[in-house]
Amino acid sequence: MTLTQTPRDARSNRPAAFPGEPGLWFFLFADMTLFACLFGVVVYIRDDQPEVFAPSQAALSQTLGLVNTLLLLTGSLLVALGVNALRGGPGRVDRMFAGGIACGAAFLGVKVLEWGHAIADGHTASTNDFFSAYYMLTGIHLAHVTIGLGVLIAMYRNVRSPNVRRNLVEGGACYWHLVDLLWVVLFPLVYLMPAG
Amino acid sequence: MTAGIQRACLWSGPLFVAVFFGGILAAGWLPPPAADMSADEIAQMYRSHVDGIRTGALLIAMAGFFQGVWAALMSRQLKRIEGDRPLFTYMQLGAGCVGILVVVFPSFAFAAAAYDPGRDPEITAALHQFGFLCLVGMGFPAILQCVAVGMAVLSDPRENKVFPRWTGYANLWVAFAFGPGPFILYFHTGAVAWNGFATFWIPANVFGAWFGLWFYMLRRAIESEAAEDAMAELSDVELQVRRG
Repeated sequence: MTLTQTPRDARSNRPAAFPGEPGLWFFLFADMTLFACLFGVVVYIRDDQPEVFAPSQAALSQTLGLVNTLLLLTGSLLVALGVNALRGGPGRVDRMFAGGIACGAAFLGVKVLEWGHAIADGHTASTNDFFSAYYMLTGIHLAHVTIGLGVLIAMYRNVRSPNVRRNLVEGGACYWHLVDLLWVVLFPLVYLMPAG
Repeated sequence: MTAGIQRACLWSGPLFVAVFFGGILAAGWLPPPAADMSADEIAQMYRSHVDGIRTGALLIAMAGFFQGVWAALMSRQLKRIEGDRPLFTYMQLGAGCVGILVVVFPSFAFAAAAYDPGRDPEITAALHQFGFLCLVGMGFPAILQCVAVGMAVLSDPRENKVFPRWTGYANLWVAFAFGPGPFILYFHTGAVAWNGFATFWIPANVFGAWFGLWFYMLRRAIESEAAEDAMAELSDVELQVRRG
């Protein structure tokens, strides 16, 4: 292969391409870096105030957290299957995306329930450092989910229209996987990580 | 024709950063004062640094001047994308104007607090806290500005993009990176207080990077506009030559 040739994918031998577009990957990695910093805040609070961390964490609902983890993982799978269907795989892409939207919406519902319980139990953002970090992290993640839902709806409408935009569908799917990935780190860190 | 003026306006960005952080330094607030200081400690800080804080308030207010120029220049270049039916251009301009208030309000508060530092410490403390909560926490106009620019860049239908597409994604990310700011309302100590890691040091660095990003975007766009104008002029001349 000479330098003038377009590099090719090693497995499929198709011309190599970024899923979505290269600029999107700047966003994805920058966002992961940002969350890594915020995760550092949680670890800091754990090491700094283990006596606050342990009982506060125990007050969270691990069950609802787990339900949300499963919802996001299922949603990610459906979106990936949808993109695969668009490339000629089995299944109908619009139904897969609709399933992804349903999972995302259910995540929002469960999160409202979870916050509602926490606030009813008297655990607000002003309670202590753990809960402040909890509301901040889950809040910023929730903003990602809400935006992701908008993106998924745009993807759903697009694949039902005659001119499918590959950039939008692949890029949107990558963003949705990011939302999932961030949660998969956030959940064990905030809900499960033992104190001290 | 206006490329020269635009090139001059471009320096309003670095000037804003210099004057704004100059003000913060003059007041002695880098690193920022602890968010859990008592009223007496705050009053003492104002009494012992009164001239520095007054100068700081003056410089912070003056920085708003450069923000206006900066937002106008970005609007001008966004309008090249959107033509005569702008939406994101107006969104960015509106957010940029409100963003000036986020800088000017705190400077008023610091100025008022430093105007009569001998008064009841509780009043000085309240003004000081009003200033810091606004300055560090209320980043929403900046968030909207980044979203508007990001969306405009990604919606560019032209063959030769005014801004590279990755800068659109970069702007959308900056909007997220300002996200933790408002949570300072709930904290007095730790990583999310107004002098904390997540709410001061991350956003402050992203803030600097954001100005670098816009500087790069705008300089590139001004030069591409000048080149387009030169090409248009050239083809005009060619047309006249052919007509004889």
